[in-house]
Amino acid sequence: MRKTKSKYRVLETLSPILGVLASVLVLLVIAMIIGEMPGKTLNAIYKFTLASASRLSTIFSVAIPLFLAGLAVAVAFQANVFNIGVEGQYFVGGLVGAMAGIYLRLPVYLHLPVVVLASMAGGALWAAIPALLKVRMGIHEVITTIMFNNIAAALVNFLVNGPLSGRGEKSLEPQTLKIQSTALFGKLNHWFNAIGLKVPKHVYLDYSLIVAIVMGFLVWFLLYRLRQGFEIRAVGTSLEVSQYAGIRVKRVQMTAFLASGSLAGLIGLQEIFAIRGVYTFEIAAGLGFDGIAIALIGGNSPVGVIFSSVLFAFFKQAGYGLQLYTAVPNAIIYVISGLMILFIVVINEVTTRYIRALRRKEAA
Amino acid sequence: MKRVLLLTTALLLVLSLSAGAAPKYKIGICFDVGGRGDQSFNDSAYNGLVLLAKQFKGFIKDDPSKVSFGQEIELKYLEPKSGGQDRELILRAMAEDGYNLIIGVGFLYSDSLAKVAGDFPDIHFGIIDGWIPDLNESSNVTCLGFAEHEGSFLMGAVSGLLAKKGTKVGFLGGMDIPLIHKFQGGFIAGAMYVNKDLRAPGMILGQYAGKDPTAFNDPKTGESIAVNFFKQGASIVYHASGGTGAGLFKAAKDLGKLAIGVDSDQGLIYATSKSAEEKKMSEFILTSMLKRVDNAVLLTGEELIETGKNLGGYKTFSLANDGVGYALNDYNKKKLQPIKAKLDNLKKQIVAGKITVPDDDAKVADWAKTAF
Repeated sequence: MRKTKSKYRVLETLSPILGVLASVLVLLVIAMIIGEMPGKTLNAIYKFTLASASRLSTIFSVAIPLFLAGLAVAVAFQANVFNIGVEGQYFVGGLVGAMAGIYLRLPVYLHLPVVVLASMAGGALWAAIPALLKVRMGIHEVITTIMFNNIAAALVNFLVNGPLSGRGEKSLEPQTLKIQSTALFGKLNHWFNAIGLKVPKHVYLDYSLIVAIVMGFLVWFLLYRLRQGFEIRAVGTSLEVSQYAGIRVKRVQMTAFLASGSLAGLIGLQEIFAIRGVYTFEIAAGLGFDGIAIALIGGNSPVGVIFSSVLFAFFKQAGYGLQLYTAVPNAIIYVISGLMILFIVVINEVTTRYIRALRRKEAA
Repeated sequence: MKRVLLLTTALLLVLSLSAGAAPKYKIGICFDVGGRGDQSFNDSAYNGLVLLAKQFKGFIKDDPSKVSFGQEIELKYLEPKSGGQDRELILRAMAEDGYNLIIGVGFLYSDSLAKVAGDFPDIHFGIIDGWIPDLNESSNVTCLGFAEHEGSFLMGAVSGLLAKKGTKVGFLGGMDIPLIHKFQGGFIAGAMYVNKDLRAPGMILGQYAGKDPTAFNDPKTGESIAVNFFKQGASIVYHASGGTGAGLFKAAKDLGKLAIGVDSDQGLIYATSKSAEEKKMSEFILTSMLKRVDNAVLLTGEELIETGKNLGGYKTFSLANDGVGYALNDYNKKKLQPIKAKLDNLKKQIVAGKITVPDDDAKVADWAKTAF
């Protein structure tokens, strides 16, 4: 019995790997059509992702915001809530966090946790309205959160250009005042160097990595070790059954929605507090939507999201490698990422059915 | 089988050929998000690479249009996928890959370029429209700025000279930032300089499409502002608003008025467009203020190739070194013929320092006291 179970495990873990391999294969074929030999294509990817400590550690640096985005979406998905609004939530969360970093005067050991909490509060606040609309009035969150994304962009844009503008005379980029040094995120690179891992000083492995690890652990603990987490997963598995079992579904969904929003608020930490030191209108967009794909591929579990966010970061870097060393345009990576999701979902479905069939046979 | 063999040998031959001669210099540019194909800023920078390739027997690596005039200079462009750390990442990638000169296109590169330049003191960096403080000749960064007010002065002169008696002229700005006020200042000064009627208050209209970067890509707002200008009695409107200007061209065509383009030769682009509507619009585009990003790229590359190094600091591309100018093509030659001599004379006077052009519309009033 045990043996067969482990056989299924192998199949289950194999399916995402197959999906990735299939998409890489497609990539190689497309590159060949463009005129690049597979060897050159693979070498370009290798050179930009794994060839040096600098490249390798950059992948993990790029993965940090992606991981938080995936985690935010995953928590909501677990409770059957489709939080498409992570995008807007991190715009607002980041701005609230930046405000705390700019206008509060606190010692370092207080300022750092305060900006993290402020970012979470901002994200949760922006999630609260669609959450309330869903729970109280039954308005579908997909519609409200998409609208709230646009409202967030417009609001942030207005604030950064208007009341909160701190643009210098010569700088053209709409931005806030500079964040105080007590709230800036330092790098952890020397820690890694101390334990023998080579991380060059320009790579951003900053405090947001700690935040990501802590949040990953907290979410895992919430989902799999606490009653509330069990309820979230129960609601996600079957709404009707949960209702029948006496779980207060609306309350659970509200909790998951707010947790998702507060996690979303953290996505911008790295860019705002470690990379730029100001909040700008040009803060990286689209991470909220990447988060949906990452959560999907990661099976909505914190551990799965670790892998899928690193995978996404890997492919993002691979795209730049292709751009630098081959004639394959950057945009191909979008196609490949899309295909990858498709492949993984399809292959997953096929293997699940196959396993089900095997089980049935066994039972018979 | 034979064919396969032949093909492989041919391929190997090509590979060995291209591997044979190492390029003397490697020059790279980093576009902004959106990159090639914007028919404006980024494409102009790309064109700078083409000019470099032509002049110094170089080639653009991995370019779909396969620009190649030799193997002496390797040229390459990259494009970020989003903000975040991506701009810094591609700048660094080029630096690590041994490029001798790397140019960031657009002010959004300012912070990341300053960081990367600090880590690679032996590589020279340029930034178009960017601003990095405290540079000097020995810095490894050059800010490549443009005297947009000088070019705009000529656009003001074109409007002032060609506006029918009693009509107004207008300025449509994109995002409300100091850079665009530079265009506006030059335009107003130019119009007032050549046309006494326009010196009366209220004769030169001006409005901005918005306060955020979307104001550079908002043709609807552009159109409504332009229609408004024309209804208020304007006969010629100049825009410095990126993609928003498309709305101005439409309004000019619909109402039978005139428009002036910006950055690249927009009249020519529209005249050679495949769309019949755009072709029609080109008839209403008088000329364009050229911001020669291509020349900035060319001259900066040229400096490196000819002298072996680049000087740091701040460089301005103005009328004097053809960094800015006005567009003259087969389509608008006739329209500009009557005033061409006057324009070239104004240009000469600016280059000689006989006319100083105000670089902000707020400075025009003071300037006007002594200018005429």
